[in-house]
Amino acid sequence: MSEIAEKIVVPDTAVTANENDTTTQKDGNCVSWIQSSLKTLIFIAIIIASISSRLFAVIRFESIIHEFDPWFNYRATQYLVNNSFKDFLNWFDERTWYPLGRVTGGTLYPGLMTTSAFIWHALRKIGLPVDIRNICVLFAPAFSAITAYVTYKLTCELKDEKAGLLAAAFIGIVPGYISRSVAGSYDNEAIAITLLMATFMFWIKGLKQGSILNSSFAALCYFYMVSAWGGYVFITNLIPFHVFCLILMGRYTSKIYVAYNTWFVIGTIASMQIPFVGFLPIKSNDHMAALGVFCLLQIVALGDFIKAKISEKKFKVIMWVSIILIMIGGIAGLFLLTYLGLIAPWTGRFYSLWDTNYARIHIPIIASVSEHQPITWPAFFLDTHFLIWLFPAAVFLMFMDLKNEHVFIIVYSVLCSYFAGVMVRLMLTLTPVICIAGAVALSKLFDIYLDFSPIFSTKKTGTTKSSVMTVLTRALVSASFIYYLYLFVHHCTWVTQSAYSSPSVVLPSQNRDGSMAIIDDYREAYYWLRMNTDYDAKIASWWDYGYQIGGMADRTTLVDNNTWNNTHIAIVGKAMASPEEVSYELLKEHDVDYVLVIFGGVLGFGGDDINKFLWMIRIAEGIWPEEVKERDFFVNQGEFRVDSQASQTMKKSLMYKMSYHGFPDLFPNGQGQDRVRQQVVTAADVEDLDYFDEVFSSENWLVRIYKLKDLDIEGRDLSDFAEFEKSKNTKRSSNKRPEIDLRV
Amino acid sequence: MLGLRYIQCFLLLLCSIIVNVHAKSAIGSRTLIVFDDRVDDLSNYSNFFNLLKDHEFDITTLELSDKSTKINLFEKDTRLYDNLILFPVKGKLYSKQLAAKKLIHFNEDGGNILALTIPKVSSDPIHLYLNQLGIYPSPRTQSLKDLFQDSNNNNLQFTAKESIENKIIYSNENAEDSIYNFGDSVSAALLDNREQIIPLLKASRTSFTSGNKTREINWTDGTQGYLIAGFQNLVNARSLWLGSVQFLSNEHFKQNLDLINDLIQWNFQEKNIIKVTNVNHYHTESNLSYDELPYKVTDNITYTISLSQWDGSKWIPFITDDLQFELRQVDPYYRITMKPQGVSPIDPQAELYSTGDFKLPNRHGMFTFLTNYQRSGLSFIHQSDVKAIRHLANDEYPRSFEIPNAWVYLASIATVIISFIAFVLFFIATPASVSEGVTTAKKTN
Amino acid sequence: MAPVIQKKKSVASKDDIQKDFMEAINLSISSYKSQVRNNKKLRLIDIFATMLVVIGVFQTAFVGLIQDNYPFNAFLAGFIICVGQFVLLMCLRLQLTHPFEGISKSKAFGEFVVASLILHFTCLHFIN
Repeated sequence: MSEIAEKIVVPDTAVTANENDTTTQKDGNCVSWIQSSLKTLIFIAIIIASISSRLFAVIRFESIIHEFDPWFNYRATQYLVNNSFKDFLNWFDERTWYPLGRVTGGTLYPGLMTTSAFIWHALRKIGLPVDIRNICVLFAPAFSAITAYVTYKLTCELKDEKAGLLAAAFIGIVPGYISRSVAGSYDNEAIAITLLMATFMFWIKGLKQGSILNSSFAALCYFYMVSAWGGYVFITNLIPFHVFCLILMGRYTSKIYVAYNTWFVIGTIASMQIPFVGFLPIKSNDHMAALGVFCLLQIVALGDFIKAKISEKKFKVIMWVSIILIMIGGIAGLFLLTYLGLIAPWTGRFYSLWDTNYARIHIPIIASVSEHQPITWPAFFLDTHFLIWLFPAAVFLMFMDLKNEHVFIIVYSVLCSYFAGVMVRLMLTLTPVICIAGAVALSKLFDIYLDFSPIFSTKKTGTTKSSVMTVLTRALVSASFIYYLYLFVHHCTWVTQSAYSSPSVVLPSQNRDGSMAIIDDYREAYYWLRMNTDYDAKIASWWDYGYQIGGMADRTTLVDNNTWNNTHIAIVGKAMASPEEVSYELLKEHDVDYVLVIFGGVLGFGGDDINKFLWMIRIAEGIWPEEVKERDFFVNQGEFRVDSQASQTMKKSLMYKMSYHGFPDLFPNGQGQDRVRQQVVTAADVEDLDYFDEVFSSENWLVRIYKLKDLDIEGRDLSDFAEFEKSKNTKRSSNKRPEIDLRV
Repeated sequence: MLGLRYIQCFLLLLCSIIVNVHAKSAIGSRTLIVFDDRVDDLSNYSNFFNLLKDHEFDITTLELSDKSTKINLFEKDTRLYDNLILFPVKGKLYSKQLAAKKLIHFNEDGGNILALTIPKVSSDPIHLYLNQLGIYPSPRTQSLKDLFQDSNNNNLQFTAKESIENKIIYSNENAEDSIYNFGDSVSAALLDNREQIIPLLKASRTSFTSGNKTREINWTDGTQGYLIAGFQNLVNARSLWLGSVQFLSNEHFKQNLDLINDLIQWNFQEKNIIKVTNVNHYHTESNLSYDELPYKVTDNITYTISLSQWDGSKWIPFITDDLQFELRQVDPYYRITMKPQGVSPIDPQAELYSTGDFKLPNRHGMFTFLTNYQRSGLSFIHQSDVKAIRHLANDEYPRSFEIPNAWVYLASIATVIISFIAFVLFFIATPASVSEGVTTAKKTN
Repeated sequence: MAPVIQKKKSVASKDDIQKDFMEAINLSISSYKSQVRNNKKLRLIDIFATMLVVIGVFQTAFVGLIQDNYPFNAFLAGFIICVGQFVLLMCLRLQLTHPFEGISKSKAFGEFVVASLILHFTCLHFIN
């Protein structure tokens, strides 16, 4: 591990060394080849660093797919590799969302799978048959290397090569990006950030030169991006916004016209080729900004043409009149179209961007995802370290030297800072711009303070006090910033290995003697399912585990992480929140065979189902407000308890019973100590399960699997059946008239 | 001479086999009769046993007054008997050997049970067993009375017309006037409304159960009470409860014979047994099955099912007009009454039913092809098959050139491309103009 | 150079505005005519552009006429190819009239052809 840490140190010192070279040897032409070879060397070092720091996960654990979504991507890739591309596009997955099924081919972003399948085929062609799993695991590190290069190019456009190299080094190891691209984190973001940078790079190039070709490339990258990640909407809004700002600043030139129009037209028609996107680019409001700017540009171009011909005063009058007319017409048109339903109104996720409370009130399912929570302040520092305070400085520097491309970075940073504050997930898009900005600022700083040429010039004339001071301050500043760089590297390594390398499928833990142990309950349970249940068995669990059950256990699930159907998720929520007999009916109706719950009370694992239970209740309440009521699950003081004071509804609920079934018996005197909630659950609190059989509990009771009992052959209620089974053989028959619904 | 005798004997034997051949259980004939000498003398029921013998039942009797008797319904996990007839038994000792749980187990394993209760004796295991099925016979203290009936011999009699409930089991439709005699010691039962319970004979409107004490509440009043009830569990094993032992006795045997015969035949699975022999569904046009060509939305599908019925000796086609097919995805999307199509071409013993051609709904997902035929008295049929119906693939929508409207757009695209090529050619051919500076000079950039 | 930011000074009367408009249009047309007269390539571009506008308008009119946009993808493909080609032509035209530094006229034309080909391919794919 320390070896890798050392490797990471390499590029930064190399970069600073290179700056020494480049700055001191400005005039020397003969050493240009040294420069280029040094540059190559630095790049190799950066690539090695960025890849190897992402391999912590593989080294500390194993070569395994991480978390939740990657499991689906992995499964989809397997499907693509085993079937033709056409089959993949038309893939109807009957093993998820039972009984609805999912039109998977039409509801995913195929970019990631297609790319890795392409790599797989290419490697086979050249005689390197690699397991598709390994490609998937190593996909993200490989693309992070490409990201580093693209970022370099982008930063070169902004400032110069020095800043570019710094930016490349930063993006290579910055934790904010590593968090989503460690080995095994086979997610859309892994490729999307690369494409995001590539699109911006070509866009800036196209804008600077007014080149149709570069803009076309930007459009193609944009198309690739659309095929890979839903976050493409960010580009769709950022570029028009940039252009809009430029027009407002009176910086309109024909170059903008050329670059934007080419990008927009090709990008739009190309993005519509992705089945999941379809006609959205002309229907959804999220895309309207781009269309609006497109129209605006045409008008501005016309205006520009006319302006060249007539006097300025008259033009102003004409301009104002036309602007007002167009504005009125445009707004009215937008309202009319939205009103007529021709344009889809803004989506819920979009609203939640503006009003952080919107989701909590209206769409519990969006709010229930931890990624959609607002970010915390320490997270900024954790993810970007000292770049976060270089960042505002860099934005300020951009204002000093305000070119079109600088406007872009400013717009990007302002928008993204806000969005990242709203949603943790968007930290990922903010990170690259922080890296770029940080690199620009730092390289500007180094340009001045790392320039020791005055020493040599002053030495000849004789040292004066001022020159010593200059040298001293320069040395001091440079040294402190090099020290910061060193700290940054250290921090990145530490954060990466401690925070972001856990696959979350296996959990790290410490033994009593301090040695590391691995808790492998998830896989234990999933393999139990795979080995011991029918291939067609349907598993009900909260949606978080849907992809993993599909990927690892290969069993049919009711709901999964593709949360496209709120009602269906609410069904599972209702089943978990209802008393046994109601749940049983509901689950039986959906042909469920097994129910899986995650219970962390034994282990002290906080992300278990009881802690997610409130979201299940809320989502279910959204659909059946009469049957599931959040209030009933709280005790009178408004607390959410699980011990003997828990509300009756809580104790009767299936989730509670399943989580704590047999739990108190683990402890002496039946005083079960829940290590997550720090409450005592006694045997008296946990009622028997009549409708479900416990069939499996993993080693640390993290995963518990229950089987639905079959219907009683004699047609009794299963609770009556259980009562009868418990009764003694010598019981006398009762002489009391039974309380039954009589036949009519 | 001797040889002739033998032949005669043989012929007689053959004849008897032929005569009795129609009465044979579809599952098996090993029958155990449990009785208690202290309650009743078994010789009173010789006619009934002869009837059973005529039905070719292989009878074992077990007398329970001897305390050392052991009752084994199972040898390890194998069921030893197919049918069990329980006369009322006394004493706690047998509660253990004949515990309700054992009876339930026997029944759930597919064994048929005929249980008899009388007001005089309280047979706890039998009562508990029946209670589990939802049949609640009146307790020991109470018996059925009808003050309006001829009271000189205290015998309770019921006419078929008024009391018989289930026409599927009761075959003698013409004899609506027949009167059945239940003797003077009768218990009536309350039934809950479980679907598996088949009420067979109900008490008359003027009857009631009451005990000797005055403060007791009547167990049943009027037609609330039942005297005979059947029960068929989910594995199609049948139980029958009779509220009177005298109903089977030699004294009333002749009067009750046709009903007894029906009950025995139903209870021990000689009749009203139906089974599915073949289920199939396929594309109507191409006859391809799901495995050969998976279904997609709006495909035309035909569903067929073949049913046989046991007539006592062999399987014959089962004909009905209320057989329904359901296509469900949680809720039913289709409910089609299937029409009998004549004897199945694959299986001459079965009748083929078909839904005819129907169109799958325009909705993808997992659908259940279900036949759920549950008529009280007949075996339950529950045949389900879950299949995925996929959406249209990207190349299954009509292509643009198949839609007349799209020709306009196709034509315009073609025009644009052709003119583009022409434009490029002309553009290259045109020499650059000389006076360009004139227009650009005016602009101040 | 920054017309949008400037403040509105006086409210001109209706007649004035109309007059200004007429003047502006006349001026533009006349300068345009002189521009085109001198450059055959520009004339060629403009003819093509006009044709594209006609085709585009025709398709929209067709949709409006039959009150049905059923093969919506086909319509979009047909319409966007017109818009896209038109816009690309305008780009070319701008580059021809005032060449950007670093991009010669022939290079601009080459880039234009490449972009157009990408556009045509995607549109054809879209209409399948």
